[in-house]
Amino acid sequence: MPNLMLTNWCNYKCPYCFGIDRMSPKVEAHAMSDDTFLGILDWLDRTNYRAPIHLMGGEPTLHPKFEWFVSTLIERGFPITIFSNLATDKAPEYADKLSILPIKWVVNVNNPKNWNNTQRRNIESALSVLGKNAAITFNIMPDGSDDYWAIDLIRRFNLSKTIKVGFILPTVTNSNYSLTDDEYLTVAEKTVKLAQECDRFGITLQYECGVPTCAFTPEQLGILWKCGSRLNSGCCSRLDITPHGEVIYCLPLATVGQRMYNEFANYTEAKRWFEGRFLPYRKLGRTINCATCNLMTPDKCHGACLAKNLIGAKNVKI
Amino acid sequence: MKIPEHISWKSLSDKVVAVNTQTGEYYTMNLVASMMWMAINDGKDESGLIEMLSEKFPDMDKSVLSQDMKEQLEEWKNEKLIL
Ligand code: SF4
Ligand code: SF4
Repeated sequence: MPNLMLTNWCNYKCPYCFGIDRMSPKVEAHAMSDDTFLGILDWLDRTNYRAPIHLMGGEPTLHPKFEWFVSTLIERGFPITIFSNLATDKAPEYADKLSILPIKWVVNVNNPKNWNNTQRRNIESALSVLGKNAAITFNIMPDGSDDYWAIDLIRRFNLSKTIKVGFILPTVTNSNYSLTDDEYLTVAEKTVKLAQECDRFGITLQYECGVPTCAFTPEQLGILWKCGSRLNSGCCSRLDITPHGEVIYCLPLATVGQRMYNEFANYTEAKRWFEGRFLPYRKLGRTINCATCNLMTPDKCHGACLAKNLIGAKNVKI
Repeated sequence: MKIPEHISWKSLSDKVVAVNTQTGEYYTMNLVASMMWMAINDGKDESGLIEMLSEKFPDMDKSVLSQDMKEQLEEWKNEKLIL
């Protein structure tokens, strides 16, 4: 099931945001309309399986009809995961109202030392009611700081004992802040340190898409394995749908190809279409070694982030 | 000579990798082939290519270079990597 972008604007302005090419101010701010939303639900109903729909943005809690979207999905039997930074003024209220429902919240947090007072108040008050229904996610930065604040947050608010960590990924237009090749190695090292520290508290790491296995040494991979934070990141498990109803492979590849959802019979067909169109380009790889790497398969690393691999590639036409 | 639109390619550590997006066929090129490829992309014709190669490899016999270049171009044409 897809990621539904309810809004294309956000209360944060993270320099690493890979949605930048599809986000206000680069494009006009737009909130998903009732009709588009209901049309998408009818369309999703034509797919004969149910996996959680991810509600995201921009920042989904900024949508004026956020509650209506959630209740409509529940009434129609769609499982939901909400991706939010919880820093908006409405977030504590929504968290409180929805905390009794079986909804998972994935909270993208930056290091708390960078929160302002309002953000701190909103995030902490929302986390305190969500507890185990909330799991945190963040990008590991290539700087000297440690990421143990994440463990403190989990323990303080009794959050889910998994952390989804990401490596900052570039857009295919290379328009956001992203990692250099050397920084990949720094981030890999920091990831391993965090996994070891997490292990002491029974917390495990999971990974966002696009983390290349070869950024880690075999020894580091072994440590991750031992900590139960085994690396298993690939590229693209679900498609995104923008507030206008355009299906894209993922936000970093939004400028390369898009189709309206109703051009496809159902979600499965859309997924197959995008996978098929992008498949040949995967062979271009991330490094010259990808061609002979035994992890170059769809269920494994597969060259990690396709958007990164297509930066500078010629004749990319989906 | 030109690179057709269904050949997507990029340069990785000075070596060109290319994929035929219609057949999925994948190619990696050595350093010299990569130089030739980039020059074709820049619009050079056969005489431009030979000039470029002679500059890069001044110690090599021009006729040998020319023969190697022709063979490479022939192979690429057969593979429909260039038109
Ligand atoms: S191209 Fe793949 S790895 Fe990169 S952001 Fe998109 S889905 Fe994730
Ligand atoms: S497929 Fe490529 S990016 Fe992934 S581990 Fe192998 S060489 Fe690295």
